[in-house]
Amino acid sequence: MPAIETTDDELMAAYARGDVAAFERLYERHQSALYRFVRRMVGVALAAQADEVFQDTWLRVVHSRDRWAPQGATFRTWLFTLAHHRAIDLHRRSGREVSIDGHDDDGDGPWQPDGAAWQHWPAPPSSEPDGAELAFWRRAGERLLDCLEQLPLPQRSAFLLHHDDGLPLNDVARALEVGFETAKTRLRYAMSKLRTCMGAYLAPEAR
Amino acid sequence: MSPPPDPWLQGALRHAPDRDTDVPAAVRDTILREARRHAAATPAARGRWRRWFSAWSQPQRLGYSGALAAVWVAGVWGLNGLDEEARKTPLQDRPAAAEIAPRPTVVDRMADAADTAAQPAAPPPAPRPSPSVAAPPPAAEPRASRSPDARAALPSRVAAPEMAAPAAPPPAAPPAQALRPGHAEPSTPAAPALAPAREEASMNDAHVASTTARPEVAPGMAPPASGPPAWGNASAVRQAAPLPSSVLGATTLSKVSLDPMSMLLRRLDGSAHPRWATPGYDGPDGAVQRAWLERLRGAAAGRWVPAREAPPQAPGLKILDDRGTIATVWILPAGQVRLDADSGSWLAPLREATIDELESARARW
Repeated sequence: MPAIETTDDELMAAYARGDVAAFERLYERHQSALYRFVRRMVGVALAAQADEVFQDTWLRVVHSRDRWAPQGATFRTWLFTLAHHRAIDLHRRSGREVSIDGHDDDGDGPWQPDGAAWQHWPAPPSSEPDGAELAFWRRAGERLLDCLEQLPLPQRSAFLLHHDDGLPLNDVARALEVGFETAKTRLRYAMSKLRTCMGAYLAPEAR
Repeated sequence: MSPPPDPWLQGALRHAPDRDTDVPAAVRDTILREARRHAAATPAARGRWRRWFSAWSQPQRLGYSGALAAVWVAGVWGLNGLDEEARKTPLQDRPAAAEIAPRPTVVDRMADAADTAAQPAAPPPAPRPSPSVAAPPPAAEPRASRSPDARAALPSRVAAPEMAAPAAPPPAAPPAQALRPGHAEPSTPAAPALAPAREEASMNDAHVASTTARPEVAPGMAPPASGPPAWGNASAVRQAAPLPSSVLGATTLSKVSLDPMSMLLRRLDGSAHPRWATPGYDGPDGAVQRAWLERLRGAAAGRWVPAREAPPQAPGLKILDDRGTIATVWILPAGQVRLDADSGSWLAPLREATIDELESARARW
């Protein structure tokens, strides 16, 4: 019989009672994804502060252990909300403008996908690509990080939470503290821009 | 409907070079060390009560717990009322419910008297062991002619209005000194009941000591607590139990209008072109900024104490008008807000959740 895995909520409740091992399990469970999210949110320019944001996020968890209660959102959603706030704060402190709407800076009007470049993409990667396929997707990953840097923060966070951390759009909206439609719009713009950015790079002539 | 993830973008993300970047060991150690330190300072019993409280204060359960509380209060009130009634009237003298219900007015009594006068003289009622209502009211009889016995035999429903004096004298207003020895004014709600600081106490001890040692209190401000003060400690503030409003009285209400944040808001209302200059926002004093200040005012109300320390080096949120800076606000890491304004320099503790809320709201400007 498979062991029933302890939920995040249970671990957090145990930590609130003073069980350090529960916190360590929580940390191990989420640290990798959270660290990645934070690094991608702060970007290359502020990479030196990524550790600070990551640490501050977890310390918030530590300090809030008594008050935390699952009020509709999962622990993971709440964790990413904390990290998102800190990343935004860091951008603001560094003097960068942070667009709130996330889709009002498209400049030249509605974005039109570059279908020509897009249709030359290879099939999505298999679970364990190797050889040439692996090399292709690694280059694609590098390129995607560059493209992410060009996205406004709200779109970036919506895309990362949805595509990398696998949060459903409802939880993305909750994590970003926006409405469902706003989150959906941000995600749509993010995907469109990234497809354009990636499509141009991965078109046959560029490969 | 949620759009499906793009498999190509997801594939690229999965193979991004930062995919397997590890958290630096120093960062990990710091986090886990802090977690252990705080866990060690968590008494199990307190955690249980906190969890019980937080569980019952969830929005979806608030209605239910509120209804329970209302039923409980109503029950206690009702029982108390019955008890009062029982104490007033000896058991054998209690009138039936139907006799209690209509409490006669003066007009009723006059009508009774007229009826009595119109009726043929009836033999005086036999003395009864209890002054029950069953006896005809001898209200028409001149009061002077009543014997003490006869007066004692008056039904309670007639006698009650004549007893103009209230059942219990109004409580004498307690002198201010009795409320707060050593201070001319009663204390504000939050200060006296602050619980001792716990884990963050060490960070604030020096500051608290310097604050509470001050004998003087700024006009209209909350005097420092005489008990173990722990402002700046969010958990302690959460445990603060305000004094009942009947004790605080009008003095506290008048203090609200002297709150430094309220004064600042008034000043802003009177300024021609107020604007904000903050690290993340430089623009007019709009509705969003005003709502933020209002939130801050509400969160810190009654908790302000004069700040003696120099202002922080970090840039604060500056509020300006045509003549220069009106005020500067800092949200301090120790769970406090500092306000430097015309009224002086002030500090107030804030809950961590409030700080989070304020910071996230500010992040959206």
